[in-house]
Amino acid sequence: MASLIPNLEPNPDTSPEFQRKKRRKTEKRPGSFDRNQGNQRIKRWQTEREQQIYSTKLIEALRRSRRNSSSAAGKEVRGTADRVLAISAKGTTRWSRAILTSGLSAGAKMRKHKKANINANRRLRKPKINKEKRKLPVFKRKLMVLGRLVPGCRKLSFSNLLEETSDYIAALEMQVRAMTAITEYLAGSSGGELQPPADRLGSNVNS
Amino acid sequence: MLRGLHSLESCTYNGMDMRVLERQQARLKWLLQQQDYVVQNNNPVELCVSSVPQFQGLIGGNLGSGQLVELKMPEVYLGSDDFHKLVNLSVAGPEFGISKMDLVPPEGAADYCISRTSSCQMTARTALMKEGGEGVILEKIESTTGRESFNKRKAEAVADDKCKERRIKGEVEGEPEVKTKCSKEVSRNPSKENSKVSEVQKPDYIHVRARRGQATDSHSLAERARREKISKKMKCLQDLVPGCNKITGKAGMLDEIINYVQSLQRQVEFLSMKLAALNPSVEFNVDNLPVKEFPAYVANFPAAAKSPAVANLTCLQFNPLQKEAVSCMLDATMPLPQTSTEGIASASISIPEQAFSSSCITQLQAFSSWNTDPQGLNNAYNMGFH
Repeated sequence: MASLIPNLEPNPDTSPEFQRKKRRKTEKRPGSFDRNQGNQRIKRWQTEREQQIYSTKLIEALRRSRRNSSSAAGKEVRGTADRVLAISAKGTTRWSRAILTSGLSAGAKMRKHKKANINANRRLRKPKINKEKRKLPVFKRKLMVLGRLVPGCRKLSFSNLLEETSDYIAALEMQVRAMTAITEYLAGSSGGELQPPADRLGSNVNS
Repeated sequence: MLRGLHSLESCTYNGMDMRVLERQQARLKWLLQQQDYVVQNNNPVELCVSSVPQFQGLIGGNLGSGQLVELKMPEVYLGSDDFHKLVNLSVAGPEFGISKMDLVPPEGAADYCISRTSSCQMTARTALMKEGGEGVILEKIESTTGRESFNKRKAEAVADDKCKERRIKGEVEGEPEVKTKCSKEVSRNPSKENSKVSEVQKPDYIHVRARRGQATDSHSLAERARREKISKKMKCLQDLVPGCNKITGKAGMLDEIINYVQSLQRQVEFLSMKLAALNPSVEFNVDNLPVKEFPAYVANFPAAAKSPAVANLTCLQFNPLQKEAVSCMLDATMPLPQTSTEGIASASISIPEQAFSSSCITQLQAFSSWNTDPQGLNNAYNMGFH
């Protein structure tokens, strides 16, 4: 059975692309903020192969999680998808590392405690008189918002944040593409569209 | 020379512009005369160097005081070997710290003297003297509109020089102190640029050719590099985010980026909900997929290998969990005998396909017993086994 599985899984030994990736890996790591390497990284997210790898891993992960907890929570699926995405990033970016470590209970608890404390203090103190000045640093506000959107990038310099954002956007796009393909395929199959199998195979479901 | 100096001194304390003009003319002549002295006597120049700090202070003090009169004094002493004069000057009161005074090179062209003076003094006169035209100087002196205007003109004059040399930051910072009257922003650039134009004799300089009209301070260079880096990254982001070509400015771009990231995240959320909804219908639906195409899949292995995500799924589905899938399917479909024929047919379709494996056949038969649409089932069979 294993032999029948086509060589689409990320088998490092066999595929030349993967070997190229390995070489690229060593080149990338030392200067992760270099222009060219950043572009290479971003273009990697746009390749077909990367999407296939991601889909494979995602399905495996979803299956595993399904077996463990037979609840069909959307949050769970989303978390799984994000974590698989972070794994696909191979830890070269800050947001991927943040996603992978966000599951730890310590991090989550810390955030809860922080929020509680801040709110408590606010109420005890006098209300701020000069509320107009809060909105003054417009640019910084936007930076903060963006920092909060990208996981693990709250206190980052402007240029680093931009770099992380570009990589994150590319990865998100790939994630959306892959998940769309998966859902369409599954919906198509479970919806019972009667197509001859040959046609099915011949035609890529959504493309 | 001393006498000349005294005459100048007498003039200085009047502080009138006309006198200034006269003084300027006298000074020019005097300086030209001094050229010979400068060429001949190197040592005094060097000695002057030792007293430079005082000198600089004097000049700074003169500038700070705002009295054009006193400014003349230092000019007189440039390139001179009269220490007496120096001493007299020192009395004037060094209020300021280091202002730039570079040594007159032994070659001692009048230009150097002039440029030297211009480096210290912020008046337009000196700057114009640097340009080397007496007539020009006089013209500009007449229009004594104020230091700021002079400084601006000086900036223009200096900016005309395409090549500037960068100085150590500390020296440049000394410059702005000199100008207390002028607006700092206006004065800073010309002062710095002036100092840069003058000769360099200290070994620690890093000479960088700055672009035309741009400051060459180490701070500003670093700032410029940083800004270019940021603009490069913004352009890269512009390519990623659709519809950002028309937007200029970081703030607008940031808004677009934020909106796009939020929309992408929402899409992921929506898709994950959809995936979660699809799950219960099949034991992780994935397992069902291969079922349909299993026969064809096996037959068309190379074709499957080439197709993208779809084939990806099919290959995955081909696993020993088929039986589980079948059982689940049955569980899912069993309680729905009254659903439309289509629904059942659709459910049955997968089952007949699963029946490919012998273990499924019995299940299929069981299923077919309550299938209300035998024709549909037959069709499914046919399709499944193609």
